[in-house]
Amino acid sequence: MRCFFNNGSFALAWKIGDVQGAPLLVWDSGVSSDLPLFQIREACVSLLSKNPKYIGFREMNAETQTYALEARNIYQSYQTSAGMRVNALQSVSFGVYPGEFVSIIGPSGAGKSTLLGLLAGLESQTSGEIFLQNRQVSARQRLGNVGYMPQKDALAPWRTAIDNAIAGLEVQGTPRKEAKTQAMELFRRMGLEDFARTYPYALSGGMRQRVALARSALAAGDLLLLDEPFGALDALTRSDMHKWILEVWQSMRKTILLVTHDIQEALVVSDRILVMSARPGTMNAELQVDLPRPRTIEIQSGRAFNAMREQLAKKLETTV
Amino acid sequence: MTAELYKTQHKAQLLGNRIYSVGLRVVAPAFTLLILFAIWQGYAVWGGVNPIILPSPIHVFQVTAENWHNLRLAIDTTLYETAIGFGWALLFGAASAMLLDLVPALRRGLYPIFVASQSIPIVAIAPLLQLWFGVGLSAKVIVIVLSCFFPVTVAGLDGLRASDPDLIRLYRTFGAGRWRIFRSVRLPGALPSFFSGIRIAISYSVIGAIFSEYIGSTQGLGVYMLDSQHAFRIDLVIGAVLVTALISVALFVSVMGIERLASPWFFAERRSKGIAE
Repeated sequence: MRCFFNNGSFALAWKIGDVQGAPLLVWDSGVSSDLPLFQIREACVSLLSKNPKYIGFREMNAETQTYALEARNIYQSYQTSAGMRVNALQSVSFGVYPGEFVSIIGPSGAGKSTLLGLLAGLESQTSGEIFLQNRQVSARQRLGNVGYMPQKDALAPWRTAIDNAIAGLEVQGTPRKEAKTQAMELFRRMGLEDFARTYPYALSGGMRQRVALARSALAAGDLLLLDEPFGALDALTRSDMHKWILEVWQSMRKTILLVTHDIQEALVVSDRILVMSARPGTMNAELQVDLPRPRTIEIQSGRAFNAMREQLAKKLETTV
Repeated sequence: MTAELYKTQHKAQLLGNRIYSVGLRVVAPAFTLLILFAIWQGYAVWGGVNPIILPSPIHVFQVTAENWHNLRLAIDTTLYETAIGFGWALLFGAASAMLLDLVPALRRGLYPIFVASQSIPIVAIAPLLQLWFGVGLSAKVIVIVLSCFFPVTVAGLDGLRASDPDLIRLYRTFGAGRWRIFRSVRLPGALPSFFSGIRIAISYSVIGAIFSEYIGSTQGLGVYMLDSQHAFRIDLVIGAVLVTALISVALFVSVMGIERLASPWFFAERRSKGIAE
């Protein structure tokens, strides 16, 4: 949830609970733009007084903040068939706040997909720790608790769109009927309701990817890892997908970590961008994207956006 | 309004195409068969051959119809043997495909033996089976299973091995275990493959049943053919052969029907890609 102020700046907020039936919101001062903290506080207070739905707020900063996902000093190496030891990831550390949309960009071969596979629990890291909500978890504990969307849509051709979408819920034991209701609600929001009973072969590439997104979003927990899911789509379909991913993010209050090699894409969707260097992959830069949403064409052609794009391009250039 | 109309027209056209293609599939082979019979008939009548050596097709149809009562008993026996033998072959083929897929050590150990089993001339081993298991059903069932389990095993194993690795990874992130992945990803994905093996197996199974009767039996199509041959009734032999072919085709077609019911998505997908059925 985002709170916008008159001058166009904003603060990030999320619900941490209910007090007397109204949501208790937490404001993240760290993500706010050029406004000093006291002004944000004042703005929030005035907002609260005008809007009785919100009854309180609490400031948070990096020290007291709980990460939804944290990686500490991750190393990953593997043996090639020739017997050589290759370091894919080296000392990777970062954190993602609850409700935040973070992108990782890096050149191909930087180990981005390897990292995402690790975080999802598909493989174990060689060394280092991974935390979910401040609890250290093994690869096995991560499986089933982290949503993951692979590069290819990987839809089961023998299932209709809706049956594909409920695959994760089904594995996790949600009754079929309830799962279908949940999926149908999401389908409606994503403009897929007319295609619920269609088999994948009859869907367009963008639509297949949307079904795959719905399936991963429904699967588990609040954390969703996206492994370059739009790489194979054409530019138009891709910008359409950005809309749907933001819809999922906002309506389902997901925390999203997206891997991409597309600077534009990262700038359009993210709160924060991490830059990864190539082989062995390591995080070597970070950028806050303090732009209001939705990031319209006007914003995308504005000065702030272009300055950030240039900054990222330069960083990527030096990391290759 | 016009969009609705267009949709209806489009649907009608699609249905028309479908009827046309199905019709073609029935009419074309029937026509070919008719021409072959006509040539055969012409040669038998005007070619100056001894009608006992090469009877005309019309004569064959006549005597077969006259003998229908005996033939009917033979067909029932053979179909019964085929059903039991094929059932076991299916069970054995599917079970061995799954087992070989799940246990790599078994795959290494058993696969070569299965391959070798296919190079055993059944002609040589069938009398031995008769010797060991008697003239009863069991020897026949073993012959049928031996002659038709292999396509099911190989095709099924290929299907299971070809399952989508991305989908398996995704299911793992759902927290799915080995069995769940097998049941929800690999088995349904391998179904079309299994069915192509089953289609081959069903035609082999009829041949297997008849062959097993040749070795020693009191009833069935094999016995009928053998008896007719000994009585030098070539017309009856040819009639029985034609009936056997008809049975094989009928069984093959029914397997295809079941296949369509079991995996409608597969055929719809193929049709949409314009692959001829």
